[in-house]
Amino acid sequence: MNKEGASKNRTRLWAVLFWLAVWQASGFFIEDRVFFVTPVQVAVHLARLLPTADFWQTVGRSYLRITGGFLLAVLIGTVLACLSAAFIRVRELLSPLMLAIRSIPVVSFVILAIILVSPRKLATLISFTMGLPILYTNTLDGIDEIDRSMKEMADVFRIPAMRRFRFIYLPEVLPYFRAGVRVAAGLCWKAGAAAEVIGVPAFSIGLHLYQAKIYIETADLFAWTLVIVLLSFGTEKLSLFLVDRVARAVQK
Amino acid sequence: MDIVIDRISKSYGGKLVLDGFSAVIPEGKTTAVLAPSGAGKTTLLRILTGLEKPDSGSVQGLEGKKISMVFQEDRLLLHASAVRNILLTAPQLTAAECRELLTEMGIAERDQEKEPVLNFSGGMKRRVAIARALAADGNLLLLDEPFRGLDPETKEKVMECCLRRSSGKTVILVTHDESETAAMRADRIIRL
Repeated sequence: MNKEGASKNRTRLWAVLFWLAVWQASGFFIEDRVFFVTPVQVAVHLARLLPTADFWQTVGRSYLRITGGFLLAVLIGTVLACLSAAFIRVRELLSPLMLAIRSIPVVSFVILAIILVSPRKLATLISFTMGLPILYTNTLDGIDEIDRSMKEMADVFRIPAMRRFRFIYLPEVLPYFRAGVRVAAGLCWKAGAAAEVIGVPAFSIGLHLYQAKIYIETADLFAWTLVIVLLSFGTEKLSLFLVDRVARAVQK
Repeated sequence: MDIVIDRISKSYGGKLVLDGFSAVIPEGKTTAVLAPSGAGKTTLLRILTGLEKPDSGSVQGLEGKKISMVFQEDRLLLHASAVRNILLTAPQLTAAECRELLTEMGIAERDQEKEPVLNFSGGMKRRVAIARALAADGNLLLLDEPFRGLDPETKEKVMECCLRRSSGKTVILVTHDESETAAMRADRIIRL
């Protein structure tokens, strides 16, 4: 996407504020104070959570579990894509596996995984499983798209492998890899949080969401959901920042 | 050592492109290969670079030769600068030496170290591709229609630079323009 297109698709603060205002204004017309909460009530509830040690311990542990799965997906997905690009048999072997992972609903995975692994490891496993095919497919697509004529040029000039990687392969693969990281970061958080709700490990955001449902604590539900959204957004932005920094450093 | 091409043939999908072609390319000299489009000039160069294998026949004398080439297409790193494109094949050069070469090629008015070649005109990209081949540490220079798309004045300047910079190298110039063979002072002309 060009810069103009990217700029058009950017979420504007005024638009976010508009929808928050609509949500807040709805509070004047909806009298149900059990199921309906306004953004101000959510913010107040979140402000009450922030100073507690339990909040930070919960956020920290969930973050480690879910981003751990995401980072594993980045690492293993990239390695498997490189192997698939180099060896056709590896590509053939992995093709049905990646197709199956992509097609099977998250909830089926979670229910199967909860039988096999402890609730503490469930979110990591699910986050990894959801991120893996995205990183694998995107990276492999990027490798497949490397211009054959540039490979030939490198062969003729006998450009060493490391220089080829830095200046010919990496710039071609990077946009695909970057897009994979972006999509996977969000999906890993969604799937990881869902796995925590089902596995309910101690000190997890999923446990708080589950309790919010049981005790009909709508403000709590929204506050923790907002935390997930912010963590997911932060993970995506941090990952893209690191990818860009590493790419710049390698190509310098 | 001279390059000896002995009765090579190559066909693609049943169409014979080279049919028992033989030639001797003398070392350290400029040999021009003249032929109309589709006569197998590029195929010949692809065989010499090892990108293609002949169906029959052999090529001798390539051992120990370092090849540099101007392809029919520019094949540049489009998002990299002109200097970076040269350093890709000629890491032994300094940035200042790259700039000097680019200036000789008439690319002085652009930011040679920062501006991506993507922004360059077709003729400028062509000149960067030629500069890259001249800068590479090779002793066999293959030029596949290298001056195509250059205006007469620029072409003359670039050919002068090519002559200066390729002195002592074995050069194979593939073209369909007879005037280029004279300007490049070809020692031998082979007609395909």
